[in-house]
This record gives sequence, C-alpha cells and structure tokens, in this order.
Amino acid sequence: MDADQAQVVEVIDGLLRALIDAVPASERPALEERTRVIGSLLVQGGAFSVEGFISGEVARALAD
Amino acid sequence: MHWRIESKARDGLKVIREIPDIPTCLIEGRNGVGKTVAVQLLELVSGEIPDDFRRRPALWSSLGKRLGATSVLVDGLRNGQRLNLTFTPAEWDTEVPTSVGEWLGTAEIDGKPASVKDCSDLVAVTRIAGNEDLEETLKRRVDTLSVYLDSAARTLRDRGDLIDGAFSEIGADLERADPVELAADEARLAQLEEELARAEGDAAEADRRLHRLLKASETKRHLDAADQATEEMLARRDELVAEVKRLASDLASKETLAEAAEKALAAEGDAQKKLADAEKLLRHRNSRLANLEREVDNLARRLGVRADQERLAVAVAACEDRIRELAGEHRELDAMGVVRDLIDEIVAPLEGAKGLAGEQVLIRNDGLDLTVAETLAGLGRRRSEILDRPQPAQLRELATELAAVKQRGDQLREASAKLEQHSQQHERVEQAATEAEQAAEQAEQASEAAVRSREANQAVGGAQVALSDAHRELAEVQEQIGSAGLASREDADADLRQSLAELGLGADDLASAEGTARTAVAEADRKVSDIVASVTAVRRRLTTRRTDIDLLIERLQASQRYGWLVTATPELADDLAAPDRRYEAFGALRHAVMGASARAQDAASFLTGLVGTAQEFFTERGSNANERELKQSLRPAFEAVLAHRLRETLNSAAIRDAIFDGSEIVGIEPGTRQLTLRDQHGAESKRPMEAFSTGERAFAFTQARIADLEVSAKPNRLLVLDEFGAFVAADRLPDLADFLANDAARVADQVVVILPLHVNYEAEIGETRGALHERYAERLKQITDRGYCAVPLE
Repeated sequence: MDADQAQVVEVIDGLLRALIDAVPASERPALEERTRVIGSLLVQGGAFSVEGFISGEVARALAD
Repeated sequence: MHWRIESKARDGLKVIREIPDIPTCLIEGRNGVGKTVAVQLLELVSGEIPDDFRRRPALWSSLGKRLGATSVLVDGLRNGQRLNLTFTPAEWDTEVPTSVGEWLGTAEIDGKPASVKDCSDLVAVTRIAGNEDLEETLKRRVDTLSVYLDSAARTLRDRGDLIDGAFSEIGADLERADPVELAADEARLAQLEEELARAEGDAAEADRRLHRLLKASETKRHLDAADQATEEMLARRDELVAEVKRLASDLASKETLAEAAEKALAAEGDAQKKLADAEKLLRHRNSRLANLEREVDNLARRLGVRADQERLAVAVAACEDRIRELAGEHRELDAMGVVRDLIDEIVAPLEGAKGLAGEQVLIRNDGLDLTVAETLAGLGRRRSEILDRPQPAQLRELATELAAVKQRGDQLREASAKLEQHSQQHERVEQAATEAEQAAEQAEQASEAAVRSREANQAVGGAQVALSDAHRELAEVQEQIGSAGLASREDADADLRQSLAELGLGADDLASAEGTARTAVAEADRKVSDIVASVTAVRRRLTTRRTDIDLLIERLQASQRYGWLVTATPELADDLAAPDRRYEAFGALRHAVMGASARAQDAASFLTGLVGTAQEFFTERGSNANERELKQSLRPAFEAVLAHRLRETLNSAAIRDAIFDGSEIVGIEPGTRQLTLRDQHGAESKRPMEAFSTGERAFAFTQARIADLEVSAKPNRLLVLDEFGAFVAADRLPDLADFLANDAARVADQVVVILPLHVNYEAEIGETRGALHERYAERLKQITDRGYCAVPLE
C-alpha cells in the first residue's frame, strides 16, 4: 500500500472513530469490533500477513 | 517547471504538447485540443487518479485504449532534476484504479531508471475546477470519501479472499471439528443421562406398582376362592403346631430321664464290658493252653518221652553225651574233612589278596617259592581231590547218627520249652478265670441300671420319631398352605388392605387398574428405550467429534503449511496440550480462523454500505432501500459524521470570511440543499447553497478554496486552475492574476490557468496596438501553430 493508500487508512480510521461516537450506545460494541478488524486488515505496506492477522485473532479469541 | 508531452495518442485523442516554464501560465485554446487530457496526465504523474475518472469510469477506459506510449517530460525541477515518465496503457486495468502504482509506466529521473513512485514523490499536481460551486465542492468531498471507502472495501475483500484461500485445505475439517457442537453434545448427554435416571426411576416405580397390583389381585383371588379344604388345611396346621409343641416337650422330659439313667449306669462302671473282656481273655488263654498241650503231647509222643521236665532233661543230657561221642569218632575218621575245612578257611582271604599281591611270594620252603596265586591254585586242586575222594561208609554212618542225635536233642529241648510255656500258660488261664469270675459278679449288679438306661433311651428314640413325624407333616401342610398363598385369612385380608392403601385403589378397582398399570409400564419402558437410544447416539457423536478435533489438531501440528497455527500464541500451544483446556482452546483457534474471512467480508460490506449512504447524501431518499443500504440505526449517525466533515470544509476562516460574512455553518441539509448559519451574535438562519454559488460569492468561494489548499510536502508543486471561463466572462481575470501572484505562491511553485479560447485574436488583432497587439500576435501565432497558446497570465 503506497502513500495514497496510507491516506485512505487514515481517513477511514478517522471516519469510523467519529461514527463510533455518533452511533447509539447499543451499536457501539459491534462497530468498535468492526473498526478493530478493519484496522488489523488494512495494515500498511507489506506488513499484512495471514499468519499475523490470524495470530492476533487467536490471541483475542483466547482472551475472550 | 517546463512540461513536455510526447504524444503517441491515436483515434482522435489529442494532448497539448507543452506547458512552458512560466510561473503563472495561461493556456488558452480551442475545445478538443487536449488541455484537459494534459492536466489528467500530469495528475497521474503526480500519483493522483483524476476525479473525472472516478466520476466517469468510461473516460479511464477510453484513455487506456487511445493514449499509446505517451511520455511526460519535466525539467526545471528543484535541484535541476529532470523527470521522464512513459505511460504503458496496454498494461493498465480497465477498471478505474484506486491509486497510482508502478503499472502506470516506466520512469527515469535525470536519465536514470526510477520508479513511478519516485517520480510522484517529486511533483504535486493539484487541479481546481473554476466551475465547482459550493454544492459541487461538498459533493466532491463526499465522492472522495466514497472512493476511499470503496478502496478500503476492496482491500478488505481481497484480504478476505486471501485468508479464505490460505485455509481452503482445512476448511472442511475445521467446519466439521466444532468444539461448540461438542460442548452442546456434552450438555445434551448430561441432560439425557438425567432424563434417563428419572425415566428409569419412573419405569421401576411403574413396575413396582404393577407388581403390587398383581399381588393384591392375587390375594383377592385367593380370598375369594378360599374353600373348605383350605380351612381344613389351616385347622390341621394349627393342630400340628400344638402337637409338635407337645411332643417337643415330651421329648425333652424323656431326654432328661435318659440322661439320669445313663449317669446312674456310668456310676456303676462298665461291668458288662469288663465281664465280656474277662471272658474273652479266659477263652483266648484256654485256647492257647490247649494248643500248647497238643504240641507238647505230639513232641513227647514223637520223642518217646513222657511230658515231664525231669525226664526230658535226662533225655537231653543223654543226647549231648552221644553227640560228643559221635563227634569224637567222626573227627578221628574224617582227617580229610579237617583238611578240607582248613582249605576252605584259607582260600577266602587268598582270593581277596589275589588281585593286588597275586605275584608276591607267599611260601618259601627249601628253594620252593610259591606266590599267592600259585598257592591259591594249589589249594583249589587239593580241595577238589578231597571232595572227589569218596568218604568211608563208617564215616557216613557216624555223620548220619550224629545228625539224628542232634535233631533229637533239639526236639527234646523244644519239648521242654513247650512244657514250660504250657506251665506258664496254665497259670495265666487260672488268673483269667479268676478275673472273669469277679467281672461276672459285678455285671450282675450293673444289669438292672443298664436295663433302666436302655429303657430310657428307647423312650427318647420313640419320642424323637414321633416329633420328627409331626414336624414332617406340619412342613407338608405348610407347603400346601404356602402354594395356596394364604398364610391365614387374617393375614391375607391385612395384606390386601395394605396393598390397596398403597395403590390408592378400592378392591373393585383392581381389575381395571391392571390394564392402566401395564400401559404405564410399557410407556415407561418405551421412554427408557428412547432415551437410551438417544444417549447412545449422542455418545457416538461425542466420540466422533472428539476424534475429529484430536485428529485435526494432530494434523495441524504435523503440517508444514499449518504448523504455525497451533503455536500462534504461547498460550495456545500450552492449552492444546492440556486435556482440560484442549477443546476450548481449539474452539478459540477455530473461531479465529473460520471467522476471519467472514469478518473481512463483513467489514467490506459495511464500508460498502457507508459508500451507498454517502452517495445518497445529496439525493432525496425514497422508500426503496438501496442495495447497499446501511443499517438503519447507523444511517443517521453516518450522515451526521459526513455533515460534520463537510461543515469543517466550509468553516475554514477563508471561506467563512469570503462567503458567509464570518458566520459559522452549524448545519447542512443535503436533501434540501440548505445551510444553517450562526452569526457572531448567535442568531441562526437557513440559506440555500445556491445563494453562495453565484456572483461575487462564487469567485470568492473559488479563491477561498485555493487559499484553503493544504501545502504539499513534495518539492515541486503545480496548481492547475481549470474551467475558469466564468472568471473570464465576468472580467475577473485581473483579480485572479493578482490573487495568484499574492496568495498562490504559498501552495504552488507554478500555476497554470486553463481557459477556452475566448477571444477571436485573428479578427481583433487589427484593432489592437502596442503591447496588447504584441500579446495578441504571440497568442495568434501559437494558436495557429498548435491550437492553443501558453503565455504568462497578466
């Protein structure tokens, strides 16, 4: 992902966080979870890997 | 910056070929000469996808087909750098890209190969459309946001597909190995086992009830069917019980008497036995005495001597004398016998010595040496000679007589011994007779007590027999009564009453209740069977599920491709090895893997839903739901977020001052195109957007947008003002030139203003003089040459 894509990630992240603050409280947990997943998947550059993403999801599932 | 475009475009696509190195450059030309295409190519070089292509994707496809290997060359960059980028549209995707990449073409910087990114990092090209009013600015912001959302959604989908593909090999196995289903089955098994315990209890209770019912029915039947024979049996049973009791008592009494008689008998000793023993001994001794007498008489007769010790002793002495005489005579006659005897005595030791000393000299006599072996051999020959020599007749006669006398002597001694034994035996017989006489006297006294004891024992025996008979008959009667199932009428009535109380029934209800009870038992048994079948099925399923999970874990651990999964976290590896945490940990792993792709796709769909809402922001919302309709509860929130971002766009100081007289935009109603303003006094008012898109406000808005441009960090910045015909029509170019000269330098190193041809230079040049004439002449020349002119904006 290049600089332009980095800007995309920044814009999306800002948009979703503003949305979390704007939605009803009942919708917040699901939206926060989606935002987390989107952030994990939209890592920049060559940092995304299936192993890295899944390991993070496994750690989260075990903690839950 | 000096821009040159070497066009290889075809199929009617035109591109202007030069933008000179003029800080504020005016490009004026005919429609279709390629001004807009040139700006689009410059935006691509700077790493931007022009908005025109996002709004109208067909333009992108058309450009790709017609552009050819067109090149953009830029020199006059900072630090004297030169840039050359040749487009490779043959390799472009027909879909409008979300961002510029190396696929754009091949590049050089200062004559050396470089990446497209390196080139885009050098130059920033910003295009502002002069005909974009307030509403269009807001729409463009929304469009840009939509593009970002769409780009992110596509990335999420791609990564979701990547995740899906990564686990395609084990997807089916993961689907099947479900710890949640395992836990559900375990819970179900526990529940079924509880149900089974209850059902078995119910079945047992139903069975007991039926059994109780049957027993009560049986009792009632027996009571109903009781007859005289039964009554007699019961009466006879009672009699026998009394008889047994009496006989047992009688037996006890008789046993007591017998015991007393035996004690009395015992006190008198066992006289009879003693008498018998004494008589037996006397008989034995008399018999022995008689035998001895016979033996003595026979011997005496045979010897011709009276059975008398004195006479026998005389005869024995005579024999001994005769034996001596005969032995002497025999010795005198049998010298050879002496020699023979001597030889016999010598031979035995010589035989024993022959083995070791056979060759040793034994006899030496005047030169004659005889060895042991020779001596032995000689003695043997001599003995044979002696034995072969016949004995004299007299000698034989002497030997015979001697043997006879010896024999007589032995017999006489035997007879004497016998006679002595006879005498002793006689004494023993007398003793035995005396003892027998004494025993007879005692026996006579004991016979009366014995009679009494005997009679008492006989009485006991009789009582025992009578009692045994009575017991036997009683047992037979009891057995008959037991088979009839009726201990007694009273007992039976009591049993029946108790059973009916336990059953909660009346006696008349027994018959009908039995059917109900049997049905209840059958149903209870069926229920137990059903539950057992369910338990078996669930257990089988549990085993299968556990096996599926265990096998999959083993497979993952051994897999080169997926081994990392089971060690994704240190805790996971430990938990998978712990029997009490294994399946829960696997569930976490499974959830993470199986849900990953779905979560990615869900997130992509969510962002796509936001795109739909964004694109409908300025449209009237109808009753039909868009296919990308965002969840209703989120729509108002997203619209509020969108409106907030748009308000931020409008609430910049430059725009507020230039357009809104310093008022703050506190509300945007996209559907009605209304803005809510709040002035410095706090008063709010609503105004339509179009009110700010005409006249002076339109110009001011455009200037404000330029002033609001963010300063790029790139070293070389080009600002293109396109579609500024309205400024020309309103004769605002001088104002724009002043503005660009004063304010644009902050955001751009070079400004290019693009206008359509708005002057008929050929027709009007004749009306001009001086500097204006020169300007017109230059522009006319360029326009004639290449269809457009590029001159300083003055």
